[in-house]
Amino acid sequence: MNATTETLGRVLARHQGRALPIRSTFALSEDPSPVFAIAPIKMVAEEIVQAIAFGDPDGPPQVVTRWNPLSRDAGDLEIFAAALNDYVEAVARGDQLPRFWLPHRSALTVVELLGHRYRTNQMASDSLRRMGWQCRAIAEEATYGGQQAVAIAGEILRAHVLTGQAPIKDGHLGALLAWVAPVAGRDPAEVADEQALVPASGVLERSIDDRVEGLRREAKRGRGPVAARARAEIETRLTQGALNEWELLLEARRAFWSLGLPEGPGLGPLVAESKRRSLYRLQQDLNPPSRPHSLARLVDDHEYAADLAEDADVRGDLHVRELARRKGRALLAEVVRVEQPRSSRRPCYVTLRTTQEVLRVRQGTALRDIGGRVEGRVEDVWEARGATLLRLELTRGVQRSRVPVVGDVTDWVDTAPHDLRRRRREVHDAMQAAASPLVYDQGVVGVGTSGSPSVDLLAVAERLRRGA
Amino acid sequence: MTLSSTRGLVRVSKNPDCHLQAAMALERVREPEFYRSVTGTEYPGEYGERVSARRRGAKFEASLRQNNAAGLRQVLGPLFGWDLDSMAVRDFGEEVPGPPTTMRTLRLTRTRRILGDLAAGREVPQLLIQPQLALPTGSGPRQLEFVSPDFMVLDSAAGIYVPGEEKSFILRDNVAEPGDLDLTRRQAGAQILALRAESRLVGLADRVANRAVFVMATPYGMKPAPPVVEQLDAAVYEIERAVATIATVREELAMLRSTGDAPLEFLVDEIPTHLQEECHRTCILAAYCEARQADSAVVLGDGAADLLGADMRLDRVRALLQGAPPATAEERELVARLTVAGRALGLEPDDLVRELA
Repeated sequence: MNATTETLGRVLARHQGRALPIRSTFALSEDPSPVFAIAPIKMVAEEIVQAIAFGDPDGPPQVVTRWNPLSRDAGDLEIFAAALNDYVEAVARGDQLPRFWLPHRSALTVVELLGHRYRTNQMASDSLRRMGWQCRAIAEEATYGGQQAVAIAGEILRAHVLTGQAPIKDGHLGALLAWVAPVAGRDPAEVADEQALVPASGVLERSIDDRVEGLRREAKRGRGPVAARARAEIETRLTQGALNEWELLLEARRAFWSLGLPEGPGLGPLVAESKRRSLYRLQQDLNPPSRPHSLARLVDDHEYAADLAEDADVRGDLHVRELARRKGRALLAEVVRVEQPRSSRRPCYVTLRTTQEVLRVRQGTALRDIGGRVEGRVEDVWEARGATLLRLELTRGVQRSRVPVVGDVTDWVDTAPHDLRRRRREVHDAMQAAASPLVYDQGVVGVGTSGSPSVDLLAVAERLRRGA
Repeated sequence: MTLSSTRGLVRVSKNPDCHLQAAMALERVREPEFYRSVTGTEYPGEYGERVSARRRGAKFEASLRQNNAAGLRQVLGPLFGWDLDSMAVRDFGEEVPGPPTTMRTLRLTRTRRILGDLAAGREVPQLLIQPQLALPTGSGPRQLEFVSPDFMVLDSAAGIYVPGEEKSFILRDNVAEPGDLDLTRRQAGAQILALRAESRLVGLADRVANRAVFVMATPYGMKPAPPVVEQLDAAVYEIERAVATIATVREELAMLRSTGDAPLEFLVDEIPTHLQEECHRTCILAAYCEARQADSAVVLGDGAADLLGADMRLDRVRALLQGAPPATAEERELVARLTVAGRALGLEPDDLVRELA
């Protein structure tokens, strides 16, 4: 979203006293069943979990508390590890998309750090190590463009609405909700500022945090009644803190689905990709990529995910498409000519006519209609009588039932994702077979300084070019 | 907690156009007290570092400094060309303990002596823990800020110390949070400038490069991650601007007080402020400044302030969108841009008028 549109949206939201939807469709597919929600409370600065509320957001949560989270004993987390694994096994059995709801990015950081700390920890139990890799899988999935498995409430809301306050204030989930679900009769700006006085980043309120810190010293003093009372109070306060986070998460989830938008029509491929990736990673311990091939595969995966997400957004959401149109990446055009010598066979050429001023189309640009039925490559662009004409050679959709007919008016977009991962894997395999020192050694082998090489490099290049 | 020393410089560097903040740093105000004297009420939000955060930071530093700074020597020695077992360490925290007000001068004297020894070619310790530096912010003898790096390590190749910071931030896959790094880099920027100023006194300023070393934590307890040496040209530039702002504001305050020695809280309305989004994260007076500019574009964030002008009234924007005649060419262009932008929100010009009715 550009600055002008965002500013206008914020002006409107402030005037209306409620958040303004900036999408015409949901960018997140409907919640599958079951869903797993995680609302952790961390120790400030340590980023260590001291409490977690988790489970099905449509039912009561389980809460785990750790009165001494800095201790090496992580047995308290076994309950969370078991519940997480039960969920993963259930969705894997049903071949379903997993869906993890978290309140904010800070909660995801805590989950990611659980992964770092336990995945390879030899002192931890098998179930905790498994929890470690599953937490890492959740954090990694969250990095993919358009992913559908991890819903971070604050971020997903911000992707769908604009508030009437400064963007930095939207980072506080409570302040954001003041605009998304405004309190009747109150100025949401005031409510948001009140909400922002209490942290919404997975930490206890300041006074409670300081109290718990003080109690920990007492709790560590042996097994007497004073220590027992201190532990009990810590656990009560941590439980309450985790339940508050849980409530905030549920409120955000409710507010999100209450936006009442239709599901984006292009989400199918995103769901399929997200399901494939996350189910695979949640069920096995994979080392983070570090070798050239695994890193290249990772980059390919991200690139393809970003392409798919952009395509789903531009084709599926009116507002996003309008923004793309202003950049010349979507165009409303009329089919003025169709040349197809043999029905349902290639070649098939379609000529489009558009009067749109801003166009970012040139020879070679791939265009597809917003239905995704037809796709082609621009062969020629020229202007005639105040309009721009584009000649496309169709690469998809040449069947008689799909070829556009003269007079059709529709939007065409330049987001045409192509899954080149298999082809790239072949390239990587060839690269591995060639064992180039550029890729697999420490660096480039230096050319000797004693005179020029004995071969004519130009001749070698020429031979390679000819394929000799 | 006062807004002084490196903390004040870092804050000013993030918003050098806010002269009120620079004045607060210059006068070393205690922020909650200043808030109370300006607004008449207690600050309602959370202020200052939490006990748990302070504890982790202290534990991390202690773990690096125990046993003659074995932890620091282990990670820094190989990086700066020293055998870690033969590195000499001076720990000013142990040599000159005490609160900042009393120990700074003593530590500064000792740090200067070591820099003098270095310039004279005498043996100097390879690692200084909690050295003290002074950064001039004006030409007067008391116009300076004390700057205290966590440590300085002697670079065997460059023949000068490199300032360093110990941070208990957790690196994940050797990557730190950008927000954490930004503050750390600015802190280091102030340290570089202060070290250069001190080195100038002994003729070594040319050796001080815009670089610092950071030792941060891994996710695994107090274990340090491999140290990172960073080139900090941008941070140094930002701190230089902050120093210049402080010098300017010192003169402005002198002018304002030429007829009487009014306390800073009485001058608040006379001193230019510059509200920006970052203020909500860092400045105790952000809500106060925002309230003073209620219904102006700046309350919608930096993007809106840039586009509309920070002082543009939102009711004027609404009136323009509802058809009020533009008074200037800028307003005419603004209406055209906002009208086009409305389409990206699914709103035609008539819809905009309706929505704003």
